[in-house]
Order: sequence, then C-alpha cells, then structure tokens
Amino acid sequence: MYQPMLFVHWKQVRLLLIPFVVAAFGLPMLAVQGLGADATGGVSAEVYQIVSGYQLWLPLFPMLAGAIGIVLALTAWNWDHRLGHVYALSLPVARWEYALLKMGAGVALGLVPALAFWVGAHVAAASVALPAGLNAYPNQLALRFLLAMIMSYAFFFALGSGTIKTTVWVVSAIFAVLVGSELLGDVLVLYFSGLEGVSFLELATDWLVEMGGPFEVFVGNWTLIDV
Amino acid sequence: MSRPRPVRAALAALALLAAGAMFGTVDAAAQQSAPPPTEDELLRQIEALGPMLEEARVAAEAAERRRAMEVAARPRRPTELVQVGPLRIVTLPEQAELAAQLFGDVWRNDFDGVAGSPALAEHVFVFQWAWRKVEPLRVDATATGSSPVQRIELTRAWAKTRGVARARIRDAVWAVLRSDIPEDSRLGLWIGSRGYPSMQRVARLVTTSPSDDNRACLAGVTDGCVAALGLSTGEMSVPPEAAAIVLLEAVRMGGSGAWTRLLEARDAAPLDALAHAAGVDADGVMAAWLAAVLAERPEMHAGLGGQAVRVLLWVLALAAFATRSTRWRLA
Repeated sequence: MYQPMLFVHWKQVRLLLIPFVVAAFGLPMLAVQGLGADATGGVSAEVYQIVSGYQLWLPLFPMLAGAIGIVLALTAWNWDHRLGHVYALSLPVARWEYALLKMGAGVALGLVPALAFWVGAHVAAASVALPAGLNAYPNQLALRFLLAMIMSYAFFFALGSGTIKTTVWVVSAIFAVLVGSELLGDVLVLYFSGLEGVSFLELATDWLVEMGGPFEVFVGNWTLIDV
Repeated sequence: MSRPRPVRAALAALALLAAGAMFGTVDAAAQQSAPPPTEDELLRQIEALGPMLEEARVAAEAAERRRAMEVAARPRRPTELVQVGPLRIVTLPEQAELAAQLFGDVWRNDFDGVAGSPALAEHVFVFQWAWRKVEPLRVDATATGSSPVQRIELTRAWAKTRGVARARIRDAVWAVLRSDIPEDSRLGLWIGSRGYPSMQRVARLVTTSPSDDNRACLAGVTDGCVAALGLSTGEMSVPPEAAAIVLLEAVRMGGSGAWTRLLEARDAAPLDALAHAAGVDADGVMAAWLAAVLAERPEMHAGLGGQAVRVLLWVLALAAFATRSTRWRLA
C-alpha cells in the first residue's frame, strides 16, 4: 500500500519539486561564491570575507527548508480534497493507517531535496580553500536542513489533514496567543503583582523557537563555514 | 467658488509641508554657512555643562540615599551567609544551596587560582534569583561588618537560565577583582573597565578578525599575540575583554601568590607584569592564553542531536494529530 501512495504523491509533486531540488543543490554554492579566492587583501581579509559574506545567505536556508515542507504537505492532501476523499475511502485501510502511509511517503520524497542540499553543501565546502581556524560543516547543515523540512512538512500535513474548521481553530489559536498574550499579561498583573515584568508573548515565542518548541530547529545555527 | 473641505485640508497640509521644507532648507543653509565654533567657544560650551553635570550627580546621590533608606525601612528578611572559596555571599535561606552551586561553578571555572585578592576578602555579595519582583535584601551588619556590598539580585523574567545567572555572577566577581588594580596604573590602563568576557565570543573574534597580528598569533607566533593584545603598541586587534582572559590565565599559571605578584608589578609594562605573575616568560603566557581561548571555541552545531530527537517527537505528535482528522466522518 505504501508504494502506490508514494507513486501518487510523486506524480502530484514532481514538477513542483524540480525547482526546489535545483535550489537546494545550488544555494550552498551560491552562498560561497567568490569566497576564499586569492583576494588582494591576503589571508586575513579572506577569513573575514568568508564569514561575513556567508552570513548574508543564512536566512535563505531555513526558508527553503520550510517552503519545501509546505509544498510537500499541501500536495499530499491535494487530490484527497479535490476528489472528495473517494480514492481514500475505496482503499481497504483504516483512516489512521492511510494518514501515516501518506505522511511517510511525503517524508521519503523530502529526502530528494535534502540529498541535493547535502551534495551541494559538500561541493560548496570543497570549492573554498579555508584558512586556518575555519571549518566547513556540510553534514551538520544538511541534517539541520532535513530536520527543518520534516518539521515544516509535519506541521502543515497535520493542518491539511483536518477540516477547514479545525485549521481555522488552530491558526486562530496561534494568532490569539500572539495578539492576546500581552493583553492577558496586562490584566493578570493587576491581580498578581509577581507577574510584573513577565512578557507572555516573549515566553510563548521562546517556547516555540527556543526551549524545545516545534520551531527550534529553524532558529539554530545554519552555518556552513565558521570557526 | 469654495473648494470642498477635503481638498482645502489637503491644500493646507501641502502648504504646511512646503513651508516646513523651505524653513528646513533655510536653516540647513544657515548652518552650512555659519563658521565652525572656535576653541574658546567650545571650551565655554563645555564649561557651561559643568553645573548640569554636578546637578545630575547630586540628584543621583540623593536617589541612592533614598533607595538605601527605603531598603532600611523595610522589615528585615532572614538571610544566610554562604562561603565559596574567598567569596562571602548573603542570600535568602531557601536560595543558599542554589547560591553555593552557582558561585561554586563560577569560582571553579573562571577564577580558580585567584587567591589573596584584598578586594574579594573585603566585599560581600548579595544574591537573589527570584520569580517575583526582587526587593533588595538588607544585609545584617553584625554578620558582615561594614563590608562593601556587590549586589546580584535578579528576576527570572530577565535572567531566565542558570547560564545568565552565572554570567551576572562572573561580571560581579570580576568587577570586584578589577578594583584591586588601580585604574591609573599601567596594568589598569591596559585592562580597561570592561566586564568579564564571554570566552566563546573572544574565541570566535580572535579566529575571524581581519588582522595580520591575529593570523600570526593563530599560527603560534608570540609577537603576533603580543601585538594583537595591545601589549606592544597599545592597540588591540582582539576584543578588549580578552585582556581579562590573559590576566587570569597568567594568575592561574603562577599558582599560589600570583595575584599578589601581579599587584606588585602593576606599574611595570603589562607584559612584564603578566610574566612576573605567571612565573614564566612572555612566550609561555601567550601560548597558555591562546590555548585557553581556542579550547573555548564555540561548537557551531552543538545540540543538533538533541534537536533531532525533539523534532522526531514533535513529528510523532503531529502525525497522531493528523490521524485524528474528522474528514471521513461524513455524517
């Protein structure tokens, strides 16, 4: 049952995936383009140039990973929603098994751009002659890319699996936390003086992106070349 | 014929903008054509600021006195005195163990080997790290005498982790240690008045800074390190906080009595003072400093394994959520 799922999803996403695979392969190489060359400034300028030049590209890596995850997740449920779930209901599998097979197929397809990124990162790292003190981290970066992509995929896959009503509830809850938490803090501090100086928005953001939250992997260190 | 109200309002706004722009241009032109102030005029302007500065200083002192009186007027909370090495810490009884842990970590990791500091022996540290709004603790003079107080009173809203609390303790201990060295001595002038450095930050900047001295230093050339630290020319190409690391590394190397030796040599050339304290030559001090800095080089992808596990758990949770969809409940 897994193989047909994989095949159907592949048919859905293959054209969309091509530019992402190209981007995943090319982005690391674009990031190091022109670095490490025999500049007139000598080796000192090179080190500075490599580290500072590369920093500009860093935000694009998690953005690309997130975008690939979103595309894979939306295409996973696309034909179900379009055809009114007839195909799914015709299969001799339970709903939970169907969802897990579909999710597994998406993760497997995600390995294609992740592999392209890994190869691209290795080629990029090999193309730069690194001065003493700097190291390249293509494996770690590729693993981070894969994790970010899977996280993005799982999040949007879960959202896409539900009804429109569920999705609206989840998105509204997130929006309410972002907008209402400061307001709630202002009200609570009137009754509990110990909460003075505590920012609920900051706590919520910290939890989401720092302390083991779901988006922690997106804000980690995305360096290919550093000390 | 009268224009409609919105049009008139827009025209008035335009006129105001045009007038503003015109006056702005005139003002800018006047500024450009005005001759630069003479030295005497500048001196007069600086002298005119003197009374304001004095007024601000008096106000700050009055505020500090008021704060001290407010603290003294509050009912005294029970406190406990904790001793970690030469550090004396006054804290709440329920935080005594925490204080001993945090100060112990800082002492062992950053200041181990600094013995014989008159300032440390004299000072008392007041420590709190609380969830609620922090009220300054009153120090019981019968237990501490008239010791000067260094306060580390943190609220968890701002100092969320033990790492942040340790960093604040480190800063406070360094500030007290630093006061042993007169600011106008040669050693004091070289160290400056900066806080205790983040070793990882220094390590990263030493490695990536675009300076030939740094590159030479990384290649193991002592003169490069000496120049990078401003010990030969006075100009540092590494972050100025790195001076604190060299100083403490020299004291660590020197072992017993090193801090006292360093203070004795405070008016010598800083490199000589460091070598005197360490009991080795400049090569040895520089090599030890470089090794200490490079050992603290940040691990750029630290914690990735833990993140992978956490992502896996989140994916499993989201997969469970996906299997609970209501899409197929067609009724």
